[in-house]
Amino acid sequence: MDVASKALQKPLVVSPERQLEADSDRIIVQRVQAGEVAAFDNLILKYRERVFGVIYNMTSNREDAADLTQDAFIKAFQSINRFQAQSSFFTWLYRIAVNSTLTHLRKAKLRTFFSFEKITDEDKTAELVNQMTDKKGADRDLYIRELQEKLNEAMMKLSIKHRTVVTLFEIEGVSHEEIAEIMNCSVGTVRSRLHYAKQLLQAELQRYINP
Amino acid sequence: MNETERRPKVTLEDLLQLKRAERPSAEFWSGFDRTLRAKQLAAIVETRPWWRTWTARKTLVRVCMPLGATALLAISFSSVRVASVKPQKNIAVNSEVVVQTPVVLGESIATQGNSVPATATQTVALAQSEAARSDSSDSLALVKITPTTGFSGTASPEQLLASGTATVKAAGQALAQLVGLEDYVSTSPVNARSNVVEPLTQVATPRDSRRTRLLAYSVTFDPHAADSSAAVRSRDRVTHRLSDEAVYDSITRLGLSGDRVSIKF
Repeated sequence: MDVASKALQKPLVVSPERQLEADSDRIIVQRVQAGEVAAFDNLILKYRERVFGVIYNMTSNREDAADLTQDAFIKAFQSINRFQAQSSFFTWLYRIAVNSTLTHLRKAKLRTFFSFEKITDEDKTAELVNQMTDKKGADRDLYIRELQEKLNEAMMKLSIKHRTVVTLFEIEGVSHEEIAEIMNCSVGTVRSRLHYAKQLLQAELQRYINP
Repeated sequence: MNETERRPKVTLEDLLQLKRAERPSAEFWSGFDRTLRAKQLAAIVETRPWWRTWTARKTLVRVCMPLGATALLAISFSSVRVASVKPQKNIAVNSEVVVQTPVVLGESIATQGNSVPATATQTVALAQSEAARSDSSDSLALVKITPTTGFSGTASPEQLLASGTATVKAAGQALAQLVGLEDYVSTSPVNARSNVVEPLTQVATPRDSRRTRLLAYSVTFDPHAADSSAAVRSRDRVTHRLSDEAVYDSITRLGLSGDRVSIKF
C-alpha cells in the first residue's frame, strides 16, 4: 500500500464549519443524483469563485482559468452519479479542477502568457497595502501593480506541484490533509513541498518582505 | 538611502494574502454563467463514446484485465504444450514376472500420476482374490513393466492410454498364467478388439487389383523363378517401389520367351 493510499484511509481532521458545509453539499448532491438537475446550480454558485481562484493562481491567466473552471464543473456534472460521498464534494470538485489544470499546464508549458485580475479595493486589502507602502494616489497603484507582477513571476518560477500546494494552502486556506487528498499524496509530502516552495518564494521576493 | 530600503517590509504570508484580492468583476461572472450554461446543455445532449463509458467503469476494468491476462496465459501455455509434444515411436514393453511371498490381500495398482519419467518403472502388484482366500503357500505376482523407448516427461493422453493398455495386458497375461486360464489371452476384450479387422481394409482397391494382375502377367514369363519364394519377394519389392505406370511400361516393353529377351522402344 503506497503512502497516498494510507493518507486517504486516515480520517480527515476538518473544522465544524467545513463539516456542516460538507453535509449540506451531500444533500444537494443526492438531489442531483436523483434527477433534479437544477440543484447543481446551487453548487456552481457556491464554489465557482473558489475553484476559479485556485485555477487562476495556478495558471496566472484569467481566460484559461475561466475555461478550466467551466470544464471542471461540466466534468463534475457528468460524473456526479459516480460520486460516492467517500470524501466531501468540495474535495472531490477541487481534485477534478486541480487535475484538469495540471494536465492543461503540462500541455501548454511552452506557450504560457499571463493576464491578471485587478486587485479589489476591499478594506482588508487596503489595510494590507497600507502596511507595505506609505504612498498615495498613482504611486500607490503603481507600487501595488509592481508587487503583483513580482509575486506572480515568483509563483510561476515554482514547479506546478509546488505552486498548487502554495495556492491551496496559503491563498485558499485548504488544510494539509485536504490538500493531500486532493493531490493524492501524503501529508508529509504536502508539508515538504510547502516548505520548499516558501523558501523559493522568499528568495525571489526578499526585497519586499521581512526575513 | 534608496527607495527599496525605505519601503516597510511585510512577511511572505502577508504578500500571499494579496493574491486573494485578485478577484474578477461581476460582469465576468455573468458571462461565465452564460458560457457554463451553454456547455452544460451541450454536455447533456452529447452522447459519450462507448469506449469512454467502458474505461470510466473501473470495476469492469479491474475484472476484465486479470481475466483476459489469465485467458491469454492459458491459451499460450496450452499451445506451447501441444507444440512441444512430438509423435512417439512404438513403445516396446518388457514384462517381467517376479514371484514373491507372502500373500498380499486385495488388488493394488501403483501408478505415478499423469507424467511418466524416462526411467520410470511401473510396478503393478496383483493379488488374486482366490489365492488370498486359500493357504499361505500361494504366491504373489509382481509385474515389472519398463518402457524401453524414450518416454518424455510430458506424455500425451494417447501415449498414456497406450502404456496403460499395455500394462493391463501384461498384468492380465501374468494373472492368467498364475490362475491357469490359458485361453485368457485369446478371449480377453483387449485382444479381441485387436483381432478385429476393419471392413474397409478387406476391400481391394483398383490399384491393388491392377498390381496383382500385372504381377501375374509377369510371372507367366518366368516359369523357372515362379516357384521360388525369394524371387517372388524380390519382384514384389520391385513392384512396390515402382509406380503403377513404371511397372506397366517395364512389363509391356520387356519380352521374355525361351532364351531371348526383347525390348521395345
